[in-house]
Amino acid sequence: MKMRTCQEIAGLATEFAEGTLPFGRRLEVRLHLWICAACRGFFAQLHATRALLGRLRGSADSGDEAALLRDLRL
Amino acid sequence: MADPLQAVLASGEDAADPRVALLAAHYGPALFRLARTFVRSDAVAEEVVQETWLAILEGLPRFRGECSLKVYVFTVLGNRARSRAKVEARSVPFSALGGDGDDPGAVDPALVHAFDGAGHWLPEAAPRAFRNPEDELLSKERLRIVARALEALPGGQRAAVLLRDVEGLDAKEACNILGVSETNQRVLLHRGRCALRAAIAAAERELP
Repeated sequence: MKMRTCQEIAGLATEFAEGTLPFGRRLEVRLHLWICAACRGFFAQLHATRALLGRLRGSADSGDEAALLRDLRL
Repeated sequence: MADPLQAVLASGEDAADPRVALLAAHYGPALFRLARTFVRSDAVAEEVVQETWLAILEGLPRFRGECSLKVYVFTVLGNRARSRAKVEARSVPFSALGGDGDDPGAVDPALVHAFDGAGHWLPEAAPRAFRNPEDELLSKERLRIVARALEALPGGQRAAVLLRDVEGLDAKEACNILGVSETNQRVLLHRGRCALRAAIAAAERELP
């Protein structure tokens, strides 16, 4: 099996996070991350970026959509 | 324009129907931000949001809770915004935007020079996890950087990131709202996330 390069692994980051990679490729990414600190750093940075983005939420997630719906249907 | 978000909220409060104000208070800023990725001016985005309120109030009696109200609201906005974008001469669907779409596995343009010829990280470009992620001051700085970089993303990428990472919707919901294929949605998301990551990484050295 030809080893994937860091560049290829970085290109798979979103598919990996989305869970859309086939089993074999998923395994390749996991193995690569296990041995490659730079790619681990890249994935960690992406993860941290997503966590920050969640803090920019613009909609008020009312815990109680049912109540809002009731008010809207008056 | 002073502050488009405030304008949307204010116009909601002035509307005759108090339910518009209620909707605007919950979803106004988020919808305006998303509408703005489809159309090219704040004014048109505001119109799209206003149309969305009316369409929601009209459709509400038929809403059976097949999805969350939030997803319903975003879906209506997506439909309005896309038909509006179609009549705007300079607008094109996200999937057709040059460099904004069709290359699955495309790497962050900011990474083009991060690898050597064999596809390995160059030593000076090798990423390391952001330091002290729990430091609130640092996080605020990074948040400011990421918010600014988000504004600068091309429309399709911005829309995908807004729906998935900012608003927390799932892939299928985002595809419906954007009117793109799953592959396309994923590519837009990947490009967007990578560009935002790069913006933070580039600023890391200057952060306190």
